[in-house]
Amino acid sequence: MADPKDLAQCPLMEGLPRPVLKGLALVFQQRSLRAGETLFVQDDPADCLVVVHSGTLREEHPDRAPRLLSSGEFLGVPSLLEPQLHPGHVKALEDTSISTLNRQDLDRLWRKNPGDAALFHLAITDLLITFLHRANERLVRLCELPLDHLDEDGLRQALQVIDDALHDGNSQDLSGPTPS
Amino acid sequence: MTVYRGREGRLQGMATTFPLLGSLPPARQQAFLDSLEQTSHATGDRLFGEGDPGHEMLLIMAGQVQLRRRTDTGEALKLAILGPGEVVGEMAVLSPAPRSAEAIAITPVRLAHLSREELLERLLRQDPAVGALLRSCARLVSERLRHTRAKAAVVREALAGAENPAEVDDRLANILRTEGGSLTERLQSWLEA
Repeated sequence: MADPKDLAQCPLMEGLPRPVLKGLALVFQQRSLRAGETLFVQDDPADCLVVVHSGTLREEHPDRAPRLLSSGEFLGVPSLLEPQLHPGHVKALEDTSISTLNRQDLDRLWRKNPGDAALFHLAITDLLITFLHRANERLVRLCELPLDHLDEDGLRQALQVIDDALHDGNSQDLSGPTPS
Repeated sequence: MTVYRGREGRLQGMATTFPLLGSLPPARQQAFLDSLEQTSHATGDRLFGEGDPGHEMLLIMAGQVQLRRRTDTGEALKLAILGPGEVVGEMAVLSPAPRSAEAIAITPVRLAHLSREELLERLLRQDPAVGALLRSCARLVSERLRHTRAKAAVVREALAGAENPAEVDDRLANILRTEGGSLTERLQSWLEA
């Protein structure tokens, strides 16, 4: 069981009412990792959401720069929604406290307390839609550039707009990695 | 437009299934659709306009709906044609926002309507159809975000190595593989597809 106050620090759940957080806390598992301990190995089946409460996780992927996740950050939303493989290795850089929610436990929540499960899904979807709108807005900005005659400055601007879309906050955690 | 409610005016032999309600058995899908307000529209009817307030999801039970957007030059950019079992505006019901495109009936169309207000009311009643819908919507939006980011990554890769405007043109044209319209319009269509 997780602490509802810890869950409330995560952007996925920060807007949820306290009774809902309490219901969710019952299906989250709390876990401590020692410095250097591996949480996931690349290409292992993935079926859970991970929320970091303290310490730091490092995600390593062969095609991208490593990513650090600290308090309040999360990974694994796509694997909570449907079966996936872990896109990279994840290990603790220091002693780290996390909570995890796996798909089976979320299914259990849907059966036992569909109201809480529905509000949790609404919160996830709302955040997903926010990032999708932001990504689309940035790509509209890309299309507003004079693509037919991009000079060096224009090209730099275009790449910046795309990078902003690709590296926007939690968008990767919500939708999974894309090729770098 | 004709409005139907409940079993009144139910389409005979209707067996449209909605992937968005995928985890519900067909009989429960049908019961859910029967419980929604339904409307029928003639060919050419405008279902909603670009910029209209979006507050409901439209489930297409029969017929075809075209989505289109006006370009800066006033041309209608055709985005998609949707048919039975597909849904228009699922994001509006979850997170209200102005419609990003215009929707036109291009054949006679039958729609079922689910408003945000009704969705929330059904959530309180713990309607299992809404649970199935929410789970599918979360998957769908996650997939769309992944798809959008993947396309952005493809464009980035193409642009990153370009050394002059002509090379930008060549590299983008190589991705788009379409003809007609400006490079910008073609890129816009490709990103929206």
